[in-house]
Amino acid sequence: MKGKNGWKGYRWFVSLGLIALLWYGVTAIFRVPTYLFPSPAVTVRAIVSDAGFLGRHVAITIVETLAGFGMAVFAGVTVAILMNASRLSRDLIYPPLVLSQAIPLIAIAPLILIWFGLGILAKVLIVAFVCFFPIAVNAYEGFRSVDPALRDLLEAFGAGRADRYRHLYVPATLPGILAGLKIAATYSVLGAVVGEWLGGSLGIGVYMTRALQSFRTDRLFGAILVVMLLSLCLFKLVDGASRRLTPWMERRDHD
Amino acid sequence: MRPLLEVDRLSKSYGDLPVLRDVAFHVDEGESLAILGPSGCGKSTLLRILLGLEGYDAGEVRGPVDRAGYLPQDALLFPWKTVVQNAELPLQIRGVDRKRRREEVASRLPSFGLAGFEDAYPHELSGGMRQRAGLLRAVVSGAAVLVLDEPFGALDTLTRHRLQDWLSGLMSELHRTMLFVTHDLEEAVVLADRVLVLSGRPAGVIGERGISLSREERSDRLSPLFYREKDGLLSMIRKGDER
Repeated sequence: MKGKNGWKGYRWFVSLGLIALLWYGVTAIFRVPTYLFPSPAVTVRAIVSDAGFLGRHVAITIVETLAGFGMAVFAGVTVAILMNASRLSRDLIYPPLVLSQAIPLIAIAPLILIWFGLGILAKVLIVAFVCFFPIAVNAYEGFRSVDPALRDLLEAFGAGRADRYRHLYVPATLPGILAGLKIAATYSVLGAVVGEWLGGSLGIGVYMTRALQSFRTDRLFGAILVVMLLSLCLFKLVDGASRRLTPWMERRDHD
Repeated sequence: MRPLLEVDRLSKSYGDLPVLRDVAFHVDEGESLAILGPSGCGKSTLLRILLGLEGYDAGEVRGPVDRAGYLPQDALLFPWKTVVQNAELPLQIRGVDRKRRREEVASRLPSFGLAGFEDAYPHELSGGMRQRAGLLRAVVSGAAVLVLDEPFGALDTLTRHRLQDWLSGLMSELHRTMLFVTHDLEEAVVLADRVLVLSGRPAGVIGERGISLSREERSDRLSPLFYREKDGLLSMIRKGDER
């Protein structure tokens, strides 16, 4: 069991290592100039040599991402609860919810910046906007998946409202909410970067625009790498939390 | 013996569709009563009424229905709870402290064949084990009457026979009042002291038959004694169909 899990953790690195190797191979074989397509080694060097400066930008992006993510979790679950309250509320909320996803991010993001300024708040809101939908929809589907027979059974045991939430609604919806969180986790960093890209003075997106304007492709690549790592970390964080919170799903996966 | 549960002229319809008509019976304390009837005749509705999950149009139900230990058709264990957590749930809801709940469950695990599976989740158990865990939950709840809805109907024949024999043995140790519905003649003969035969929709009581076999005789499904009981029930059902 332990050996199996050890190998599973290892596979992530093998997969990423293969991509790095492929990347290196392309730059080595085609002898692409560094200013067009830097090799992995050049990119890593760019990150390391500029670590202090990049780090300050990264810190801001992390703050924006986590705050927006948290806001989306709160809003998404709240909306799901409202939709689950009645048929009427569902029919009133669901259509605008879906429509909100039809608004192109590239159109709404500059507006949010105009409304809320170039500071952190606007970026937090953009992240929340991007993450909100998958969380709300998955949480709502989770509520709907509650087995009415189990509700009856709890009633036969004499359960009250608090018991119903504790023993039925929360555990039944948790896998759905966590699945939504996983999708949202990968969107969230992206949302923050897009917001920064459009305007502001701090954040990875800002760092990227500056790198691009000064033709420092190596730094741009470095920033992209950092963004990917951040997304991966957040994803693994949510994944780890979901394994801990829903152990019954975990064992099902491994059967 | 005094009746623990009494049902008097109970009727119920869904809209224009009558489901139960003038159903009347009683369950004595310590007795095991089978309610035998064809599939879809309204047996489950009857149980839901007895459990207080559904209302009825006319008649009366007297008894400790709020203290029934209920085993639904397909165990209905909570998928996110382990065997122990499932079994202790009714006690937990009633506010029994954790230590006493755990003791109560642990002491019964071996006789339910679940020792070693305390921390298993329902999907890790076989169908028979799930059903036993569901019954453990019903028994642990300390209920005055055990209410079983086609307890082993979803299982394969071999497992079903094994579990019926096991439950028959268990009941003789527990001395609990039991009420179960079934469409399986053998199940009724193996597990019941008395069998109530229901007609098809709308369900009404056709007849009643006491089963006075010893435990050993009940487990021998091929013996003439067993056959006579089965045959008696079958002819009662046929007579009901002709009416």
